[in-house]
Amino acid sequence: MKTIKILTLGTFALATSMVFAAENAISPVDQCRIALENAKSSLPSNAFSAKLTLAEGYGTLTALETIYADDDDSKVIPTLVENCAKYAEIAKVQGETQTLRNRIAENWEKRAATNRTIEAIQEQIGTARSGKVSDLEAEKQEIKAQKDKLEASKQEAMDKLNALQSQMIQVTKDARGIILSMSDILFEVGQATLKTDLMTSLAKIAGILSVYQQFDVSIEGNTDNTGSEEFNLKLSQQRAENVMNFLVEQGIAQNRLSAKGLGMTMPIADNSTKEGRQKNRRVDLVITDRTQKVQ
Amino acid sequence: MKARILACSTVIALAALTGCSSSQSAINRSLGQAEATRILTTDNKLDINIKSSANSKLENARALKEDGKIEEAQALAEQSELEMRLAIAKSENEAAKNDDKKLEEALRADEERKVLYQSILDKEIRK
Repeated sequence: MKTIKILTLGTFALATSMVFAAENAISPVDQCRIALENAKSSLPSNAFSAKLTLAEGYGTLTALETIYADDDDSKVIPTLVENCAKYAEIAKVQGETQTLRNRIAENWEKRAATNRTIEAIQEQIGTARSGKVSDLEAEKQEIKAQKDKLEASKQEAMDKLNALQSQMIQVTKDARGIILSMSDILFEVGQATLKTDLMTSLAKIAGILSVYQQFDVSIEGNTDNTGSEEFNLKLSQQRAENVMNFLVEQGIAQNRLSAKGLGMTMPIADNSTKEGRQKNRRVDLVITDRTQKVQ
Repeated sequence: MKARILACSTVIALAALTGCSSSQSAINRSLGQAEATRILTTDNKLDINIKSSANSKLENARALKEDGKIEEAQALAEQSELEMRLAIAKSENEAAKNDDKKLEEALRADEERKVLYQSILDKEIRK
């Protein structure tokens, strides 16, 4: 009796579950429709190939509906359901491809915009650089013009100083500048007093210095090695100072001048000969260009 | 009455013939389309498995047609064509992915160049 009850209950349960399963089973037509609807929902608006594919899929759906209505056991139904799924899959892939192509198009536009920006920046860099180059060029030209002017002025002064060249005044040029060496013949023997000839020459020099304001003058007194060192130092200092004072009297600003006695410390010739000693007894006017010192 | 029966029989026969003829036309069209797609896909580098499956389905469709199973043959021919179309769609998708990737890289490089030039410009302006 118990066995019969169990069997009855089991059969009832099985039958019930089969009924529910049959009610819950999705029909082939619905499977096809759901697949197509899912594919449709993910398509971008311009996915025309995908839309055409879907249209074909819906054609299959219509055929499936007709066949299913006529004979729900038709052998062709599974193949048509698969075909429906294939249409949906193709449409989905085509939709994804279109989405990629849309992004590619957007990125090309972005690239074009970025490259336009780069070109604009490059132009700005060029402008900034050319502006600086032209400023720099103008500055260089100005400096060169000033330099040329100074050089010309210096050459002019040099020419004028060269004109002072005589037996008693030697004009030379070295790293320090232009050197005017004045023989001690222009001084009283053993004294610091300036002779008239020297004063005439110094007046000319003062004239040149007043025109060419860029020149400073260092006056250096020198002697030979005869006599005591102290005397020679004192004499050379006095002579240098006398020359400086004369130039000041001629209107040259004192701050452009300096005087120092070097005694016998800076010989330019051999003191053992008469000619050498003659050369060593001198006052040098070392004329330097102030503008060159600054550069 | 005989005349009516004859008339009806003629109509039914014509309808059957027309139906048969239209089914033949449809299956031939489907097979032709599947064959044409197969030929089109031989040049492309498509998934070999899909191509093989599609070819085998096309052969089966032909066999079903020979057996007079027209509806099944047509559905299978359509499936063969669809498999090849899917392979083409996937191949195009891969190509688009590659193009997209390359372009993304190029765009990134452009952006980096832009930043570089901007920094050069900023330096020039500050000088």
